[in-house]
Amino acid sequence: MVFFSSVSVEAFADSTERTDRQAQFMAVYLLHFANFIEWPKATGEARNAFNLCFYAEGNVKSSIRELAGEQLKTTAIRLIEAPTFQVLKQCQIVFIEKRKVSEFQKIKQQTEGKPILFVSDKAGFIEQGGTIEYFIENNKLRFAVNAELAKETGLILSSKLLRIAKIVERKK
Amino acid sequence: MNLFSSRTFKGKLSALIVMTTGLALLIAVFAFTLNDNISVKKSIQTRLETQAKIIADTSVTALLFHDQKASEEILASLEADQSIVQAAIYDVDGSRYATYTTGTVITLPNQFSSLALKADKSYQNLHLPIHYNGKEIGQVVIVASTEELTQRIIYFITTALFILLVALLLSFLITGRLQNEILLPITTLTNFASRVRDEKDYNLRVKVQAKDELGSLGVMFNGMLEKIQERDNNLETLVGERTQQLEDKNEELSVEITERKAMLKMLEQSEARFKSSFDQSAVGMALIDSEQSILQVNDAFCSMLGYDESELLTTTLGSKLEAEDAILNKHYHQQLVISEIQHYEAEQRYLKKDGSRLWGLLNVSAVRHEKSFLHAMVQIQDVTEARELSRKLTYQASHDALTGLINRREFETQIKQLVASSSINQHTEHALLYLDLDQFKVINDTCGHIAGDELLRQIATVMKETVRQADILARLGGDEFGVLMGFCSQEQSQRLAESLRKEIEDFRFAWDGQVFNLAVSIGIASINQTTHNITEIMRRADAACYMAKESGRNRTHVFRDEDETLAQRQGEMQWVARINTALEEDKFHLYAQAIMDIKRQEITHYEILIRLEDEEGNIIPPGAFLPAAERYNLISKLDRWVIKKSLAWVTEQSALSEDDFIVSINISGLSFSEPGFTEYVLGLLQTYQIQNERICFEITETAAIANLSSVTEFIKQLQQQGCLFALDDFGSGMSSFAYLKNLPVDFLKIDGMFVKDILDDPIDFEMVKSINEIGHVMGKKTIAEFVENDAILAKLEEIGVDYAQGYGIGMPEPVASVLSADLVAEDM
Repeated sequence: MVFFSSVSVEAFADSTERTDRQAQFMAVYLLHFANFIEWPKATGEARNAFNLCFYAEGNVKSSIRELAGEQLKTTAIRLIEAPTFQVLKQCQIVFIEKRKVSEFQKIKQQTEGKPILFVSDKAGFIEQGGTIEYFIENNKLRFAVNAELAKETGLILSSKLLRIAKIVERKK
Repeated sequence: MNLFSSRTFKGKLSALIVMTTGLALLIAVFAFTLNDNISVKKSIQTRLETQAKIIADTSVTALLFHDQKASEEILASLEADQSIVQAAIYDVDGSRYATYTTGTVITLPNQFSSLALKADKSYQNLHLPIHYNGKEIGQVVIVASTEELTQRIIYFITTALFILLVALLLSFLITGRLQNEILLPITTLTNFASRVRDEKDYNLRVKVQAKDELGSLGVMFNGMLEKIQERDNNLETLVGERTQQLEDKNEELSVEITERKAMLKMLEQSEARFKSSFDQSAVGMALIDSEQSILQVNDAFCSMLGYDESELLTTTLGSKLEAEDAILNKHYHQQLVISEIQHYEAEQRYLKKDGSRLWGLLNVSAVRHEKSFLHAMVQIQDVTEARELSRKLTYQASHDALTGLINRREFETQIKQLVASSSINQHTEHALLYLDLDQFKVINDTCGHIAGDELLRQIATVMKETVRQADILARLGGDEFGVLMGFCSQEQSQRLAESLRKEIEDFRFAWDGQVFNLAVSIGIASINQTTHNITEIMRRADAACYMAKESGRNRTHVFRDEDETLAQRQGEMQWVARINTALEEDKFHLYAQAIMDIKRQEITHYEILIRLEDEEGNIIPPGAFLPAAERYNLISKLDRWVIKKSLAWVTEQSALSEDDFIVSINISGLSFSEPGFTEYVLGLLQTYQIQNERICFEITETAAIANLSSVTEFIKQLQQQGCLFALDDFGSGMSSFAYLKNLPVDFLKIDGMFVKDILDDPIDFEMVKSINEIGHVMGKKTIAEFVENDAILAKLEEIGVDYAQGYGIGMPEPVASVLSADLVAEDM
């Protein structure tokens, strides 16, 4: 059972727009995740590219777009907005903004068994089968991790990341 | 207090061991403390660094994900290390992000700055950047207390001091024990030795216990006692023997004393006999002591000098001698006293009481007793008359009766002495003059021998007045005289010879109403290291005198040895090396001598001359080295050098002065036959780009004739370039007029030998005149050399010679000063 501090969650009504700062942090954290998570050795094209796919609206979308040109060590990060299902399978990270979270189940089905990190700011995202879920605590952006799921999908999360994350378990 | 002043061996040994141990331990303690201090400091530093690294590493994500709480948790892990009192994490902007503190007073700044973190005596700071993806995203700062270190050092020193004390105590105890082992046998031995001393019983023996060094000392001590005992016994036997010998000797002595008494009596009789013969001897006799004080004299001695016995007994022998002789006498006497000689003999001058001198033949012999000097026996014979006779004979044997000068034999003796002295120093030089009167025979023949003798006397007087006081003048026979000039350079001797010649030339001999002029021919030979033989020296001077006569009488001639080619070549070989060195070291210098246009009374030419500066800075004229340069094929090298330097100088002068002057450069005949010489000169003219009309090459008449074709070719080629040519020393070759047509020169330089005498010698005058005329007919300008005075110059002007050169016009001067002087003169 995922437990969120009710006050902060309520401050984030689904329909409300994020503050610009929060939107920025959400985008940058995606990059940071990439740095502290190890993906299984991919084959082919994926070896040379890091695909950051996202489904987002508003200032979150524009913040992610600003990541264009960033690098992951020597690998360039390729930003892919709302990819086709075919492309989706090649993503390392898939971010789904809470307003687009309705797409998640379809996405999940399409990418069954692929080592993809699913991130969303939707409350209860981990319950729905996501890997990382952003939440607000004391007015600060934090995140929860479903470590078990990550392990199942073949992702290795750095202890450094886990140290500051809130670790949750999905109900089986 | 001195630790080793303890009087017992035991005390010294203890002090030594305890001090050594103490010092070694102290050094060890100091070294260990130092080392520990350094290593502990280092390990604390390493520990802090490790801590900081871990913090930096683990707090990356906390910083990245802005998780302050997590950061503080990470910092809280430092709690385990009690020495850390404060720590903080600063974010990328340098703001303090998370803090850890144990409640110590120090507070870290809110804003990070490495400068603000100052080192403190009791705290140690460390800061480390936090990196993420190669970028610095924050800083970790750790502050640790150094109390631990201090405590550790105190603990260490305390422990060390404790160990030191224990070690000292132990060593002291062990020393005491060891000493007993060593000292006991020594003490036993000492006691035994004093017992032997007190009892004087050498039969005692020490008991030897140990087998170590002390044991063997005991054995040796026993051995020594044995030797003493043995010697004691020997001594007793010896004393017995000696006593017997002494008694025997006593008996012998008493016999001898009786014999001595008889001998003494005989001696007294002998002395009486000696005394009477001493007193009555006709020879002057005296006894003197080691200081020459007169001890005893006989009557003959007294009457010889005219003194009473009492007067002489208070004086010394030396006081009755001429001062000069007294010194020599004293010297001999001293040698006699110290047994260097056994007797001496000398003819010396004695002072008689009446003031007159007496030549005495002195004979002194020493009287000694067992090698020590007692007194000396003096005998004097009056040899005054014999001496006077011998002096006269000596004088006559060494002097010329007519002039009073020394004779040839004495002269040669004097030379011998001088040569012997000249070999001492290689720079010593003397001169020998050989004079021969030119007209003596005429006077002798026309006026008779009496006139001749008078003339010789007068001439001798004239010469005596002219030569230097130290010079030795001699009549060598007939009308020949010799002068020996000691320590006199060749130049000096030439000058003196010249003045002698002049004096005799000016001297007028009047006889029987007639007045005669005289002249003398003088040969000069120098005496130096290379001349050894007197005959050779005399021969040389004679030969030189002959040469002087041959070359026209009334002149001086310095001997040149044509025969001794070897010596000369040696001299020249030296010159080869010197010339080469001088060329390398730039020791040759250009000189220039002015040539005057007689009509315009202006200097229009300069003849370039070469000089060599030797090691001492003396300037050497070319006469000294050019013959060698010619003989050893260096002349062309020198010629090239002179031409090049001259052209360079002219170029330089042209820049300074607008005055155009002609520069005459001498070229040796040998250079023309040297391949490439013409090309070299043409090349130089090209290089220096001066007006070629200002360059005049001088070629000697003899060189031109000897190399006629190559010289003509050279002249033609350079004349095409505009250069001028002069024929040098014209007239000396005599056959030259014929060649003159073939040599297209611009100037004729009339040989100075003709010019210098034109005032006096009508033939010379005619020679100069005709050379000038023929030269003018052939369209050449004439230059007279050796113009020594204004009178000659006036004469030349009268003849119509174009130019004049010589000491009367200008001396050769270094080129550097020639034109500068002119320029100054113009400015004035």
